[in-house]
Amino acid sequence: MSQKVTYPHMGTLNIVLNSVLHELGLEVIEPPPTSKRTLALGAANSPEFACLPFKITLGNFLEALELGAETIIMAGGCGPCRFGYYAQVQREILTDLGCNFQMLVLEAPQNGWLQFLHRIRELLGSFPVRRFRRGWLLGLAKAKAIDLVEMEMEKTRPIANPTIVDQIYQAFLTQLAAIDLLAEVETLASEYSRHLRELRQGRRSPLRIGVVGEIYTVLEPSANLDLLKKLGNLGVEVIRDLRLSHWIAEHLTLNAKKKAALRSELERWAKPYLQYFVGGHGLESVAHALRYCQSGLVSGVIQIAPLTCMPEIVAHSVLPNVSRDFGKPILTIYVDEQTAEAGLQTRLEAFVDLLPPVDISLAGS
Amino acid sequence: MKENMLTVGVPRALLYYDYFPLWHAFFTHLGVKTVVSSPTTKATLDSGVLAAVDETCLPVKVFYGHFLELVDTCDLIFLPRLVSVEPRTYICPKFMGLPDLLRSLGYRNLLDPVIDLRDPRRYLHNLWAAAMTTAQSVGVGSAVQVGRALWAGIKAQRTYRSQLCQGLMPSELLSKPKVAPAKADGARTIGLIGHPYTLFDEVINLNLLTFLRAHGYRILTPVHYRVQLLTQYARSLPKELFWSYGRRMVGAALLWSKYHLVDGIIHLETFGCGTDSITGELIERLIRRSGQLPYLLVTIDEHSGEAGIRTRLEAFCDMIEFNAIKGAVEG
Repeated sequence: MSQKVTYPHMGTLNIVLNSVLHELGLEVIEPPPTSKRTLALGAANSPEFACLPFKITLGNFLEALELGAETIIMAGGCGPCRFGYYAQVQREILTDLGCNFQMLVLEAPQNGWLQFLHRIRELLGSFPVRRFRRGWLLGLAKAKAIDLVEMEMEKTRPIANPTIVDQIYQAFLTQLAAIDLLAEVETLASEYSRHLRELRQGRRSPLRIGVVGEIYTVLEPSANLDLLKKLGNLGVEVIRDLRLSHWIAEHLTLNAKKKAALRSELERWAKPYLQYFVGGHGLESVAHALRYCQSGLVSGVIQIAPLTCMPEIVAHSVLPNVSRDFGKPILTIYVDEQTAEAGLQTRLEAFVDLLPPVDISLAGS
Repeated sequence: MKENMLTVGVPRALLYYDYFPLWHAFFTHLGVKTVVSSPTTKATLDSGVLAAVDETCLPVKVFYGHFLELVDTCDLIFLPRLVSVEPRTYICPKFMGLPDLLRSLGYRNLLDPVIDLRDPRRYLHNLWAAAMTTAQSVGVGSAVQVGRALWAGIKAQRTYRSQLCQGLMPSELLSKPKVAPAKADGARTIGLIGHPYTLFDEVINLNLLTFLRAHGYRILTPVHYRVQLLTQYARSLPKELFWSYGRRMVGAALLWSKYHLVDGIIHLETFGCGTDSITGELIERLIRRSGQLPYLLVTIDEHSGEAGIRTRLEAFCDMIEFNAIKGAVEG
């Protein structure tokens, strides 16, 4: 079977997916890095009020199909957030545009792993389970490695030379993408983490901002116009729980019981302000913002979400109360295809200018 | 009527248009008086727009307005957390957080039972739990009395649903009719899709119903069909929709186009409606593929003007008339 497969971009997800797909012996057509053209293509063919991730991922598909991709791999879900139905509508749009393709929708394997594997085999051809497992473990390890290095990077960027930090990070990603031995992943990650740690020489920025919101807009630099990098360059350390392995766990690996435990933990945190799961990452936004503010770990919180995102609108409506009760500023930023870089930069600068430094003795290191 | 009877306020917005008969009968049997806010006005809208987050949708803003009208005069405001009203679907994330949204304004007198009928195995259990919680909040603890009230509510709801299925409008059933029912025979029919809370609120819909009726059109909407029937038609999609209203809208559109029950379809959508951005797109594509049915998408928000909508509607009606004449000449 020589299917040419593709998938949408989400931050550094491509490195993880490439590992899994290569291990299965598939030819991967990686969509070109998300650009203005991707967004323009996506927005032109999407429903007007669909959220930004829908438009960008559709743009990714269109560009990958131009390069000869045949099978699209996309994640799904069961609501109430729109994301669960993205793939269905995108399939209709691409069909109406006359594209020739198949779509494999990966949804949480509610019927167990066997069913899940069976569905993958149906579309991608057969392969030994052993190889899938190997690729999967490698991919997961890479996701964890990325998270580890990014965490160090977010601490280092505000106090070191940003250009050097960028170079280190890029070198790490390039080397990580090339690795296909599980054992090497961890070594690489710890080597680069050490590198970044050395760069900061035990110092830490007194300005810290918690970033919460919808996970795609947090992870994808083209959607948030490099928000995390911009904050780092302004001398701010970014604190966040939404990371790549978080998304993978949530969508693909956690079983129902663990998910329920995770949710009740979030509900316990958010209870004074939001008492119920609202889909997407609405509950996470409130719970995380509350935890950051309460622990004194941050001087402020930024919530980022695509315009018209339903769960984040709910979170946005209650966050002013969190802000008032804890005396920490919270800024909500909605992004869509109209968002301009200069406008975002100005808002961030103004927000950061007003931030009081964190009491370092309180927060620990 | 007793002097110091407990009053429960019901905002005339969102799912009021679907479930008021049930709620009213339930509370009446518990010896509680329900007070409904007055029909939406510009003032309701303005106070809602001021209180709500800018990015939220018009129906939620209108809900804020109705809530604010009642909150100081009623003992409790009935504001159920409507997670799901039928197995395996949700309504909308905003409905799931609605009580928290309004609590964040600083009000505490909310009566907000969780209504989550998503899991078919726990359907009755959760329904009963919601009824009991509600009853206990208004000071009734006897299971027998709650059971009777719930049964009365379900009966009232059934009557309401069957009257809707005969083609009556919620506004004719829920309050005194203002508009005379249209003469149905021989008139052309327009299928109107949208959420009940946008279709039947005369301020949100910018007098759309009145306009169409005044021009002699018969109006069909998803509320005029049994939910099971619409769900069945919506099943033809490759993946079942997980929003109750989205499902009903797709079902109605497919039903109409399959049996040529309408002469045109209007989708009334509010700006920023998350679920409609997806289901609306699906419906439009399905209708367009199936052929000749005229289709109009009207998007409204608090800045929409009636004149603009009217112009578009007139053009749309002209197209329907033209199609009819063309059909008659060719046929």
